[in-house]
Amino acid sequence: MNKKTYIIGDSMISSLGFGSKENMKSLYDGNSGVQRIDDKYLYPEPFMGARLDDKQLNRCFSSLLMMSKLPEDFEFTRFEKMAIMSMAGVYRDQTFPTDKNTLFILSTTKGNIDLLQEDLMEKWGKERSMLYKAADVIAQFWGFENKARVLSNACISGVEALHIASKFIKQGVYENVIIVGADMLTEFVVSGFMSFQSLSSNVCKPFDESRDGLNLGEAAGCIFLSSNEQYLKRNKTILEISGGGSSNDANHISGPSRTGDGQFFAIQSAMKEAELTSKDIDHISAHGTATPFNDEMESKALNLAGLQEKPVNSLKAYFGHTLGAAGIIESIVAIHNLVDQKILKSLGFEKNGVPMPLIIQQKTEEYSMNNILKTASGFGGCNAAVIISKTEKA
Amino acid sequence: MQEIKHVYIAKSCLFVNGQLVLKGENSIFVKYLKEVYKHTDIKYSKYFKMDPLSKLGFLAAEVLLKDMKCSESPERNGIILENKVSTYLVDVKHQVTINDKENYFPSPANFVYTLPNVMTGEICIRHGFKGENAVFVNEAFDAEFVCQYIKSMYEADKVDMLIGGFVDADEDEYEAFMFFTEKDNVSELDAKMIEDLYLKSKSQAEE
Repeated sequence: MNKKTYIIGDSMISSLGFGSKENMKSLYDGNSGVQRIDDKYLYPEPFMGARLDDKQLNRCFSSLLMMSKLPEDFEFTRFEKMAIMSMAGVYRDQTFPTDKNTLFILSTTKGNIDLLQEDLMEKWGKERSMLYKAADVIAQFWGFENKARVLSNACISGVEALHIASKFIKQGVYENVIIVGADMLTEFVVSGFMSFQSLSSNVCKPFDESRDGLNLGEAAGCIFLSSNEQYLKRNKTILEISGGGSSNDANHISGPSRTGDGQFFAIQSAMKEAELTSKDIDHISAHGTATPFNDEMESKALNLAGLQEKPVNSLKAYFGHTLGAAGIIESIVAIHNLVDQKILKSLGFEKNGVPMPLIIQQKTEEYSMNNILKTASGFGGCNAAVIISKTEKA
Repeated sequence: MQEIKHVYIAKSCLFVNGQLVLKGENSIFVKYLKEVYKHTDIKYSKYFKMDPLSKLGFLAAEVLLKDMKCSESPERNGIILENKVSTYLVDVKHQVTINDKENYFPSPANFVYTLPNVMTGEICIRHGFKGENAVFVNEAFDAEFVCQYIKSMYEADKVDMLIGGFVDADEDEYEAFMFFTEKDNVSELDAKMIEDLYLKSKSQAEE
């Protein structure tokens, strides 16, 4: 029989704050972490982005070093610090296991990519810039017995990691999975998106008529999943990953599908596994990057899935697009929305600008929900979906 | 028991099911890729825009899927690949375009290939696969993990056909290993067997 994938704990750091609690407060207050950044290390000209507080990161991280299983003088990169920080937030509330029954997955697109800069390469060397090496360092900090796994599937990495992890847990392959989603705001990524001309010069406006591109951001989030009910003692509301799926548009490597069928397949696969229909889904936390084509595609996919009458939001105007972290931090928000029974307004939205009808949530308010659908799409034509549901112990 | 179809490309050698099919005249990676492309006897203009990693993965899939039957439901066909250095070669190429602030020229055609799953995306486009797709980055091919993933996706009834493998392109080395699984043969799928197929091809290429 299938086991349940319980959501035991979560934590995140973002431009809106350190810890899930601080982030949720800021979201409910309607704050955006996106602001004008004038920093020659990130881009020759000013741009709009969402950045972490480096001073706070370094200060908080130094207080974690006593937990490290690595030698005292071991040096960590900025990316590794972010990832470890988010895990420490979970660990403080509920110690997670690191034994053979536990898998650690790092979800990231570019990891330690800043190390390719000439000055940093000299100090850290090529191997440290590799994704598997960053994951290995993070795993060693905590002392995980199993080899760390890195899922690098563009912007769906976070949502897809939750999907794959829940298959492993349901089938008893692993009892526990600790997932960390993390990506940094770097010159590498900013210059790339600039070359694509896909960045907005304002705070982005998902699904809006005048949307003109995305904002980049940086964040790290950690979710602890387990089939073991022992870990649920502190949870007032019990939540699970009830279904998930990934898909590919098989259409274009850098542009979303024109029909939305790829994203629809992922949603359909997730609903089928959860044994839910569109009627049971109460709210959709969409990918909503605010690029013209992405949001258009999503409106089609959600209509194909029969979800056009359910409230939709995008969190990109709050956090920016945090790439490999996005699926994790946005799922963490969905987790808290279910616990708080509150829905967030889709920041930046004023007037509907997508071809198919959607209900875009315009007010942050109390809202009764049992099932939230979280979706993501990315370069390479990939899509993923997971459903986070209120549940009871098995 | 029928052997699981597998393809291996490294050191200017192409193996299909452990048989040497094409020994390259060129030891240079990109030149050998040209020879393999010719060998596949296809005309596919998108190929020429790809980065070397995508080309390698694309060609391995081309050889693997020749004469193979995939599911008629596109969303039931999937692919999982491992890779070691992610997109290091393209990353460095992109980095070079931004190192000099006076001569700043990042290119979108290059930047799009700085994600390893663009390689699986190219394969999905070519073969019309719309199902599960994932790229894991690992220091070396790990048959146990890849088989764990594959079995898990079949058990969850997500796929009817799933390609597994490892594709990597670094400065001095490149390697592609891909194998074909389907619903009907997944019960025979065994990590030790896949590991042996991989190691056998690898040692043959090194001879």
